Order: sequence, then structure tokens, then C-alpha cells
Amino acid sequence: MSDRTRGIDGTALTRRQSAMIRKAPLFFLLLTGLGLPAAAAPAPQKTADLLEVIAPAKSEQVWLQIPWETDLATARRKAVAQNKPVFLWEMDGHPLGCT
Amino acid sequence: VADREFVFGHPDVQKLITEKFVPLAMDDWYLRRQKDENGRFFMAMTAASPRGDAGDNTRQGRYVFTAAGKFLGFNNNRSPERILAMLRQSLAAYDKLPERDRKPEGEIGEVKLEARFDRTPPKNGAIVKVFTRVLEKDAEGGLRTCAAPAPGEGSFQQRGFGAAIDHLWLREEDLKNLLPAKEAKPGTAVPFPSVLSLRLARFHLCDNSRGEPPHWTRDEIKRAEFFLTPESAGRAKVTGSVHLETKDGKRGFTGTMDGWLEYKNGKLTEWKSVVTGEHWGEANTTAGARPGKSPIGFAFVLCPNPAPADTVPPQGSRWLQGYYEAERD
Repeated sequence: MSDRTRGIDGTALTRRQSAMIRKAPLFFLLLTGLGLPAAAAPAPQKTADLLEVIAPAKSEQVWLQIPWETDLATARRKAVAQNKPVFLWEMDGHPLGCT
Repeated sequence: VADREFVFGHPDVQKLITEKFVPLAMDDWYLRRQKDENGRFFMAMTAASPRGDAGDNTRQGRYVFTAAGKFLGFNNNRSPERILAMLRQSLAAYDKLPERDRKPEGEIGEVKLEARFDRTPPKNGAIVKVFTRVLEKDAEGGLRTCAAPAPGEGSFQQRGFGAAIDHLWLREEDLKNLLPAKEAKPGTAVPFPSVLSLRLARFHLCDNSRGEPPHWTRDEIKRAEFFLTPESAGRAKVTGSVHLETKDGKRGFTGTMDGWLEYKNGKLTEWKSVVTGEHWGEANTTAGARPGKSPIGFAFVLCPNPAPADTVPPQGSRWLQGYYEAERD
């Protein structure tokens, strides 16, 4: 009887016990997935990519092409210098921030 | 947010405002409370408008007036056509005005703002833009912007899928306490000062994508841990995790932060980080949230050369001391 049919204490193993031991490595590999071709785990999204996803795209910032002032006195001074009226966008919560 | 796209993203509105007016954007919450020269000027001008004497109530809307304070036009409608009509009528009225109604008699000097409403960006500090966007997962589990609704189902921004904007203000002393010392050991994580962790969590990790959100109270911060790990001279990795939740559990956010900071001679030269996670629930002012838990992202980006639009104060700074000293309630 070869060593493969004896337990670690040297006692003889039944055919069933022997078969289980022979199949154990295969069972382990299947259980852990190591015996399968490596599945393509999703790579964590990089911070730079997420920044691009979250921050506004250029097309969402068209309204910022208007040269908004945020100080009343500054706007009034410019209005005098350029002989123009002031257009005020006034909201509860700053229109250029807060939401 | 919808006004930004529908009204001020409209090419004809943009062209007319940019060429024929001095465009100004302000927060009514401050202006109608100010007892200084700016507040008095604004109240006198709006009293002549359809808003009339609104008392302590909102005066929000779109106004046209002269540097001397003469009211010319008002609109509080989202139709670009109606805005354009109001702008053209106001211009025609302006052209007919005598000089004395266009310009004040004297010079317009610097206005000393009422101290409790003065929101000048911190001297020698930093402004960090904070963008918020609700997200969805793609087939691989990555995060992406939400798909625009089909035609007829409303607009992208109306659904709160656009990017919201706020500003994180850091004072000179905040930077001093935050940035790693020259001798800091690379690879060793150092926690953010507690007051900064709380400022970030309480005032800048709020779902403001559908309106002005309530900010988190001190008790609603279950966890707010952020770390800086120096990687090399002048650069540190930033990481962290948060759990924010109301007492009844109906509104909350859990997420993690990743990114980096760069600094030189005690100055912040770059801050790029994201906080992503799941949020749930809504408040009275932010109705329309998606049901259950769903992904949301916050992006933090240093603004090194601020334009006027970048100097808008943090939404959470209406009580400025409470904003800076976020350990207080």
C-alpha cells in the first residue's frame, strides 16, 4: 500500500477516504476560484476620472461666460464708467453658489 | 440651478447681458438684512419695483437699475423670451434717462460692510470649489453621471442631475494646522485637525443638488475621519471616511475620500479629491431625491486664481463663526 492510502498517523484509509484526499486540492481550487481563469475584477475608478465625472462639464458652465460681478459697489462703479445699467440676479442663496 | 442653464445659458440672453449691462449676482439673504450702504441702496431700489416693500421677506428676482439707484425693470420668470423683453424695455428706458438718474452725484467709494454680513474670503487662506453630483453605477460598478431623462420628461438639471457648486474656505491658521511639516515622515498618516474634519463633513458633504440643503448638526456626525499621508516633499495623499445620519435615520450619507494635496511654503498649491458613497433621504428644501440609497459624489478642487464668481461664500457660512468653529452647534 502506498503512502497515499494511509493517514498521517499511518493507519490504512478506506477507498472513499483516499478518493477524498486525492480530490481535495481540486475541491480547494474550485472553492477559492484559483482553478479558474482570473475573472477581470473591476479596477477601482481613479480619483482623476471621478473628478471629471463629478465636476461640471464645459457645456454645463456656459452661464459662467457672463462676467458676473459679486459686489454691488463694484458693479455700480463699472456702470458709471461704461454708461450701462446694472443687471442684478438676486436669489435666496447665492445664484453662483450654494446649489 | 435650472436658471443657470435655461436663462443664463441662453445665447441671446448672454449676449445682451454681457454687451449692454453690468451683470451682478448676489445673495438676497445677506443683502436684505444689511444695514450698510449696500443694503440701503438695494432696499430703496427694490421698493420702487413690483416687490415693493416686502418687509423681511425675500426680494429675489432679476432687476435692472442704474448706478444712481433708479429702478428700470424686474422679472422673476424662467422664460428667456420674457427676460429678453424685460432687458430690452429696460435699455430703452435707460436711454431716455437724464444723466442725473444714471450716475450718482459723487464717487462711489468702497463700502464698509456691516461686519456680521461681511463675507470677504479669508486673507492668506484658500478657496476650494466643491461640486456635488448625484451619480449612478455602470455595468462594471463604476460611477457615472445619471442619464438625461427622455425628451418630455423634464430637463437634466431640473431633476437635480447637474453639478451643484459651493466653496470651502480655509483660513491661514487652518492651512498652518493642516499642511504637513517639512520633517513629516512620508507614509505616515496624520489626521486632519478635528475642526476641519467637521467643517468638511457638516457643511460640504450635503446633498445640495436639488436646492439649499440643511447642513449636518454636530450630533448627526457619526464618523468624520480624514487623513493626510505625505508621499514626497510638498505632496500628500488625502483619504477619509464619513457616516452622517439624522437621528431618525431618514437622511444620511456614507462615503470615502481619496485624492491629494500639494503645498509649498505653507501655501496650498493643489487640492484634488473626491468623496463618493451612498446618500439617502431628502429635506423640505431638497425634495425629489431618488428612492432608497443611491450614489453621490463630491469633488474638491483648489481655486488658485479666483474670479468674482469663485469668491461666493460657503453656503454654510451664514453663521460664520459656526462655520469656522464647526465643533460648535
